[in-house]
Amino acid sequence: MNLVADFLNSGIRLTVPILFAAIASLLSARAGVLNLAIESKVLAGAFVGILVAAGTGNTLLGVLAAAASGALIGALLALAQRLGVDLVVLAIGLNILVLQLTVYLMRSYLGGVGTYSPDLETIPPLTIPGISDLPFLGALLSRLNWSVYLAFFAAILVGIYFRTRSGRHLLAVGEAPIAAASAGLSVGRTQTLTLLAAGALAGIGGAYLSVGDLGLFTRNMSADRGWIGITAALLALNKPAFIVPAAAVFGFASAASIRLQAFDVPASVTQFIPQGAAFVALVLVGLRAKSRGSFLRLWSQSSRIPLGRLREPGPPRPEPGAAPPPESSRVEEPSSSRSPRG
Amino acid sequence: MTPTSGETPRLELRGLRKYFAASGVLAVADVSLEVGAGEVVALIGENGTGKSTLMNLLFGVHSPDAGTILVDGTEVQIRSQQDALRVGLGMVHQHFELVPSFTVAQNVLLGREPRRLGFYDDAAAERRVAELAAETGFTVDPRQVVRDLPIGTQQRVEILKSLAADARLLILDEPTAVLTPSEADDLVLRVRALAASGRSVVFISHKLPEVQAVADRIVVMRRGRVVGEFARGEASDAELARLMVGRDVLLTADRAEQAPGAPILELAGVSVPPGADGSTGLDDVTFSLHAGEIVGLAGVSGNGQDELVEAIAALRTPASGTIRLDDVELTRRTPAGARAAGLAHIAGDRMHVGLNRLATLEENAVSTSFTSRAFARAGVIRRRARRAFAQRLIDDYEVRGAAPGRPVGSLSGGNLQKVVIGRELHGSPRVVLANQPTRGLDVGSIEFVHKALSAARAAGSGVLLVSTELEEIMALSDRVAVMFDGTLLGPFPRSELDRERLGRLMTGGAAATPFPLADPASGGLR
Repeated sequence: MNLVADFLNSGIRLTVPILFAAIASLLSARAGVLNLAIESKVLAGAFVGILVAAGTGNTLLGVLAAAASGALIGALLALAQRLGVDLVVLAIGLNILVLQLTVYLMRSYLGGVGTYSPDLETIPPLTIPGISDLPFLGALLSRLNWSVYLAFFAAILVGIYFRTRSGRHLLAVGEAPIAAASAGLSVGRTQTLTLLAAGALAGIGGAYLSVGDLGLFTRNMSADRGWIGITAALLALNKPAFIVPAAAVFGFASAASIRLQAFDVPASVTQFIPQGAAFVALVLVGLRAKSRGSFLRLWSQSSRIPLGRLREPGPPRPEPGAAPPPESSRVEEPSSSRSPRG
Repeated sequence: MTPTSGETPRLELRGLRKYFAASGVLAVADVSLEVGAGEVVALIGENGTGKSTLMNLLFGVHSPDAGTILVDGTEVQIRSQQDALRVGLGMVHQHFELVPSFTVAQNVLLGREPRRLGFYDDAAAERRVAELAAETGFTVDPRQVVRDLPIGTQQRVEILKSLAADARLLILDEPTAVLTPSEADDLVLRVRALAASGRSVVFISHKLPEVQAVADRIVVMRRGRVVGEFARGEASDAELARLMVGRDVLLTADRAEQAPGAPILELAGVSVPPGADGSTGLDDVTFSLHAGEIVGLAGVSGNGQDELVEAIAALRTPASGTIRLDDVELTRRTPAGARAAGLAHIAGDRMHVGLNRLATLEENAVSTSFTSRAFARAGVIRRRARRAFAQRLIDDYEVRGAAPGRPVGSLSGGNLQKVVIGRELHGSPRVVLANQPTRGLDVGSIEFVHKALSAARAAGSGVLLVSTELEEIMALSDRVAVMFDGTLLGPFPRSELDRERLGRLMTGGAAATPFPLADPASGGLR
């Protein structure tokens, strides 16, 4: 057994669901939506994925169903966004709802609360002729199935997508919705499609946990991976180029915490490693005023407090909703001037 | 009166009407207007007079209750800004609609980007924008990121955006409000050049001199109606102002010569480090303000004026230097302490700093003095005294549509400012800080603010007037200082300055380049 290769292998496998969640968070944030419901999408994906996979005996169908369940939650968010519902509150509700719904369904129909482990073959690992037999690389790449490669492929794909016209439009919608709308781009449609895609990705991340890796479902299987994904996206400053390393920080921190238990390190220390990594990451992000600003901007866009709607009297202004100025969470007034430095 | 008689006008409005049932406002009452090809029409009028609603009707934000819009003689239905652009109407709003992190080229061609192999083709976009910029004279560097550009250049980008969409009629909404004098002069030239190339321009403004310079025809609106229409040079500023307001307006403030008294506010070496948010900070500012004088502080906004005002008002602690009001050191005071020393502060942001719009008028009227014995006894508010004070403020300052017990949020900008000024000038303060007191106000309200400041001066207060309007500075000030990049130049006696010299000082004294923003490579302002 090669210890290093084994550690790397487990790190990669622990990175995958976080990476899916992080890409979902990145996409939503860049489209101008503060998506805090990713945790519920991951959990829903894990649950629906294994149910369908067990029912049909087909893991691919399971993963697809997981993607659909995540996208369904994304559609809910998109609908709420259009109706002007506070997305933060809704997301908190969804996270709780999905967790309790899976518990309820397990208890009612799957005969238990703790674990559901159907007779199921997980997604088989990809064997690459020539490499899988090598001692180090073989151990490194063992147990890695196609959904693992899909996560990294998706990260690259998002980077490429942002260089296309449609990707540019997504960025414009997220950064300056009024500018995008005035250029004829549909803000609502862009955000809806993005939320659907983000939901599907987070759902696949969930399916990886149940169908792809373990072949069983446990209560609260997502175990905060959705939140950690959001943290990873923040750490990556919502840039596709940094998203894989940022997700890997958390994946490998988890792997380290598991490995270290073998070395007589107290559990209190090892279990702190993933959370500690998240804490350090958030401090780093917090120190960067710029990305903190964009987080607050998203927050202020999502939380529709009535103050943001107050306008000067008289006929309504053309600007729909609150349009915060760049790099600031202040609600802008029609009459306030802009300094040359923005 | 229409120079294009005989030809089909580029844009014709027939009997447009818009009534807002919710607020009971007849915003546009029967407006007919023609704009010919290659013509510049200035649309002037006070705030809330229906100009914005009229434009919103043109751009599909609202739909008219009655009337038709014809473009090149054909009736059009406009339901969105896209519809408007499709028939050739382009709009440049006061608040630019740009994506800050995108380049100039990416912004100009947003929604109609050139592609190569499915990818966004930056090189082709930059070429096209450079060509368009060269053709129309709106010089920009297509590769620069919009966030880094000075506001005047951002406006060029916004205009280019409309032109790239083949707008044949361009509507500029108060385009010079954010520009330096030389930038504004340049814009006037560019607009004339656009007209010469056959494009039509509607120029919304309430600055009469520039309207006279730019327009072929001036249309005056009041209370939702067109009340006057003049060819270039047909009407004087005074006539136009009277039509806009409906009564005679003093365009120049009435001021008696008055010898300034002793210095009451003295700043020495005040420095504030530049902020992380990109604010300029202050660099070694030293000057003194005397009793009974108005010192005008000119400058393009964002050059440290806000920091200076906040430092004096004790809202910001300077890194070094002293600020003394009489014998009180303000840098060690709280904002309330500074007020107790005799400071009044007419905040630049009356919506968020000057007032609490959710609070009632009487609460706002005493918000700086509610702990005083006049309004509180043993920590309990004296409601009757407060109400009486608020009612007196409403009467004395003619705050229209106001009641002491109603939130001020429903008042118009001019009336909000009256509440602020009534509160701040009460009790004859030693020093009055007036930060852009007339920004966004209409002619009638501006006249009121000017009178109030002059009255404070006559009563012996020292007034520091921060303004980006040179006319205002020149009309009211005894001495004029200029802020540029955190440095204070002056104050100079008003007689030593003219508009040109002020303009040069405001742009860092770059006397050799009349239009410092024409060359983006120079970095423009800053």
